[in-house]
Amino acid sequence: MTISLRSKASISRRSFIGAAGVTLAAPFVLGSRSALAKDGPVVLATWGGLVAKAVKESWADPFTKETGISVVVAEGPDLAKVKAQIQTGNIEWDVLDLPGSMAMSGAKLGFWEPIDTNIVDTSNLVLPSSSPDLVRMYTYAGGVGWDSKRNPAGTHPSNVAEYFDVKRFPGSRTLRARVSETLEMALVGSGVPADKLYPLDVERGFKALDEIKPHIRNWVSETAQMTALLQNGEVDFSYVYTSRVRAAQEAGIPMEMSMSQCVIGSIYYGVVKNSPRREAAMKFINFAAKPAQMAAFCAATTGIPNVRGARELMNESVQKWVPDLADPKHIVVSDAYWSDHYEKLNGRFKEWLLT
Amino acid sequence: MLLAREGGTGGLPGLAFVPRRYRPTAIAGLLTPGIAVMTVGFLTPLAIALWTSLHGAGGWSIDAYMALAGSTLFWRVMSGTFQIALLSSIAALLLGYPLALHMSQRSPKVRRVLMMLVLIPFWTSILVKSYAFIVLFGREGLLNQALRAWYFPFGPLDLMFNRTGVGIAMAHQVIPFVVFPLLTSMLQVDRNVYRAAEIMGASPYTIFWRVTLPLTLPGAAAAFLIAFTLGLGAYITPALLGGRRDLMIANLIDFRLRETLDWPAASAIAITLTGLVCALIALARRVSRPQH
Repeated sequence: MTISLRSKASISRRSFIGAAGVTLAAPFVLGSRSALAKDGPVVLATWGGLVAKAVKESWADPFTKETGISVVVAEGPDLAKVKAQIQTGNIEWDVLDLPGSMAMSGAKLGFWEPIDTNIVDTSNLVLPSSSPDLVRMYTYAGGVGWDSKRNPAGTHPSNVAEYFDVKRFPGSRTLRARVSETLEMALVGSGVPADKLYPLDVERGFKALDEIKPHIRNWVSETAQMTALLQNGEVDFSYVYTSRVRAAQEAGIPMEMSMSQCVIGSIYYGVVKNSPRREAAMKFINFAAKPAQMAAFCAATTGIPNVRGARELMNESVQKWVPDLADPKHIVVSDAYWSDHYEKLNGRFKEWLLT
Repeated sequence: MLLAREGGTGGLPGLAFVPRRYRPTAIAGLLTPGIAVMTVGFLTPLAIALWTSLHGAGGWSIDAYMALAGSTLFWRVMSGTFQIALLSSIAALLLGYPLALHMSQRSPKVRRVLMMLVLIPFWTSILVKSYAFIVLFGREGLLNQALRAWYFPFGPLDLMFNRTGVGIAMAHQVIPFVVFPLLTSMLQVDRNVYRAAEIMGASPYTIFWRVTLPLTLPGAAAAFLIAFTLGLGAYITPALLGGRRDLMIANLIDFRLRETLDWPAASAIAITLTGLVCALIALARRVSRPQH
């Protein structure tokens, strides 16, 4: 990306038109990429910003160094695009970075290649993958957050049950504008033990949501809002994620979150069906799931390694953001449950929000 | 397509005469690129959406539409979407009209500066603007802090995360789209008409009601239609600044398209919305057609 001013200025009109023509024609030529690219780079679609940077630095570059297989990091995994790629036979992405619900609905629709356990070592995973077509790579933690300046110790909720206790801790709160995570929190808030949630008692959950509804000032759809609202003083307490709170603290913002009870969501990796680079893609997943690589990635993104032996390799200052998943107090969201119930319950939830 | 027509010079006064006849071949040549773009970029995707909406797992079916007709969620969201679009376009029109009138009366030099100012929010990212609104109008925002400093008895005002918040932000969003059609129609009015009215003894008040407003009404109608259509498609702003009831139809399409991958359902919603908007525009044109 280092184009000097001089070279920019010296682009003639003709060469510009030529370049523009090539750019316009590129999609049509590249359309046949899959035919020639069995040995081409592995394309990994992941989420932008911090995650993409960490994927490149902790996984892609070292992988290329070790195997000689190059990896291209693309942005914005999207099931609709995967469907289109499989339907047209023009596979653009090989590996996808998939949050739970996306991973499972894709698996249900047969979008992923079965994981080749001869290449990928899955014996070392902390939480099993719950589908033979996916590898559960790492997890992330959400929990109760507060402004440590406004709310010193004792004046804020510090677990999910207290978050739902508006009598003891009056004040406005946030919850997510989607049913998964939210219904689990409501049930734990109403007294269900975190390790005995599934199958969810839907009626009880919605009843608990009815009670908390008047105290939810914002049903958050954009993750960035969860911490921003807390920082602006728009809400008293907020449901927040570790990565955002860590970033806020590093920016000097007085924000805290409780690590004693977390909501754990999962990120899976899958290989797109009919990918001509299937084998290289599997090799990449196996490489990324090694403890050292996973530790480096999770330290950068504030993830929780789902591979045994990785947590210990992380810097101690980062380890405080990594809850111990063996503790039954944490709420591990079951993606297998949501793959069967998400559509119906999210419809009901949205309707419930409107009334 | 309708939008392009409304936004152009189609409804403006003073253009009823044709200055010169062009050769038909020249007109065809000039129209071809536009028609080609609309065909490839608008009509074809629309046809695909229509086809998808009528094509379930087992061949042709109208199941997707039947499911919509019976869905209370769909109708609630649809009516909420129309309310929000209506609210924001009326607000934008009320705020934009005086602004456009002011701009039309300045010198071209000053007007250019004002135009830039109107366009600045248009170039700013929606996400950034939304945060700015929270800083201004939030419970701990500047406005409420100022009110508290002045011992305002009814504070803090709840202006964000409800319908008011959506109205403020959406009106702000579409004001540039309202101001420019209005300004064009105001600049088209012959100055001599004003002069004549003044000579005949009309007060500024009468001039506004009897001259300016009627002559700029077609521009206002065009502006309203643009604002309303943009409002119907809005999605991020209501999600960021609205309350739990401000779910837009575009969110519902997104949910079907990307989360449940039910493309027939997503297409059926999109087609129903397009159909309703077209019907509405046709109705509006019929009602507002000048009676000569």
